[in-house]
Amino acid sequence: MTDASKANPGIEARIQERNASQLAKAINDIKAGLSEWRVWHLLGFNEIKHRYRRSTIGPFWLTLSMGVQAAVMGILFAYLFQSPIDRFLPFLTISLVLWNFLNATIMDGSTTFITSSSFILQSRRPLSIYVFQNLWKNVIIFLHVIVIFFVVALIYGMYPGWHYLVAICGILLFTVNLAWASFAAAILAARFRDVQMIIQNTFTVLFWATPILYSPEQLGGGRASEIVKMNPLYHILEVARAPMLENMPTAVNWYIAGGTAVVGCLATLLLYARTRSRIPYWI
Amino acid sequence: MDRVIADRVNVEYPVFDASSQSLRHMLVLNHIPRPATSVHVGGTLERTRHRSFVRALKDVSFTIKDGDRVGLIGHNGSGKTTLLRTLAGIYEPATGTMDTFGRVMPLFNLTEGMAPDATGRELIMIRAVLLGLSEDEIADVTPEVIEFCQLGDYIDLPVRTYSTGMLVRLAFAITTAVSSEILLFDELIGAGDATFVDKAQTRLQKFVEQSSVMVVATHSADIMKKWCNRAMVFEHGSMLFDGPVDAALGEYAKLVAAAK
Repeated sequence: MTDASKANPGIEARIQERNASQLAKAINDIKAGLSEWRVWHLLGFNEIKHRYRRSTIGPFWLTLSMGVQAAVMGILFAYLFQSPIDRFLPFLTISLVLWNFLNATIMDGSTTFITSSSFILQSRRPLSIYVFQNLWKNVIIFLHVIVIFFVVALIYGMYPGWHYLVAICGILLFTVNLAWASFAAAILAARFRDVQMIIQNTFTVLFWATPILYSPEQLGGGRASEIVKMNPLYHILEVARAPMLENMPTAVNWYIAGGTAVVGCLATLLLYARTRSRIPYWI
Repeated sequence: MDRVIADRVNVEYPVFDASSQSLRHMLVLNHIPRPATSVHVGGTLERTRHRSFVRALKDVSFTIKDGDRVGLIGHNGSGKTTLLRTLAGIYEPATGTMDTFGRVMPLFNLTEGMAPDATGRELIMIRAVLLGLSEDEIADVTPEVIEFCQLGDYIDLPVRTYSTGMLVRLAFAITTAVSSEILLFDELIGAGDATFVDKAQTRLQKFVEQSSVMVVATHSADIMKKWCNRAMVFEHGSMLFDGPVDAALGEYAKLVAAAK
């Protein structure tokens, strides 16, 4: 043993930790972020709690406004598309609920590090904590808003069944995709301030370009249907949406949604490994 | 035992003007050559062809041992806050290494995470979790904190109903409830109204005594003399002096005189 290690029992572990590769540090950061769930649970939960403090129905305001939006749009589009409302309204409701979950998670995601700068510059925590905080906040909101779908489903005679088990798997896969996308958005938007606006505009277009208000078959089954099916967002959405509506997602839906999750998580991990130590300097 | 070992630490802040933080700059403008210059304000502003950055700490090396109470002194922009943030592990040095041993408690902003709509009791919980206290520690300190800050029934009201002094009391009481090995202060905390100050002083003293190491950035010679047994003088990100407090204050006085 050298003199230095006698004076500092922790030094060998510290040197090992310091010399770890950037990739290992990024993985450790994410692991530590997950294990510090108390922090992101508290911060995410309090954000909602304080926004709706003193309001009687709290976050169920979001449920209510989603219900009104779905009802008005549902009736209008059922007339426009000449489709039976008892099939169309549940479809539209779950589509809007999932889309809002996706849109809010990634939009809030892009400001994660910028809005948390006062926390980040305050003490050392794994930066992934703030990404989990945002994801958790939006999961809680999603769980409030999805209530409206069950109400609509019951009204139109779609009763709970085994298909909800598949739906849970689909929604989990959907959430994994949101996790990496919001993480990547947070990193890129911290470095390039235009990214937030780019994402905002892209999503406005994607809302119409992705089969959310319509199904691909309604485009006539020809080339247009094939083109929208090339959009991975459609498949990511479909694995969560189809089982909620008592249909089964196709194998292609699962492959593309699963493949996007794997590729996206790996790409985000590499991006994070490259940028992690610089993020505090950017915000 | 050594608590902090800094070895030739360099810290660089990237400088993004509006254009260089945008994608356009990255994609299009990066090939335009710029003259490499070196200016002397705050840290050193340096430019290469591809990026400009402030060198906020330049080859800083030191070792801090158990029992050291270190004061950092220097002009604005001399690197004190950057050094504290590097000690806290928030900034990773561009080159060189900064190793700390033991729990580091940075006390820069006592009101971190304080939402105005939370009640005093909720705030104790939020702050305690943010400070990284365990469930057991939180359960231990909560009654003691409530007792110390003497807020009575106010503890269950939203903190927006508190006066500034009451809020500071609460923040101070939570922060000083559990001590750590390494304490970092950006300006030493003082708290509340006159009756509270004595109580606060005693508590702060106990809090600091329980720690192994304290590092405080300050402009006040009085605080330095009262709390520190070692001082470092910084200028433009370099450490000019490291030694006894009186000698350091003398060095700093010379710097101030030279600047006039």
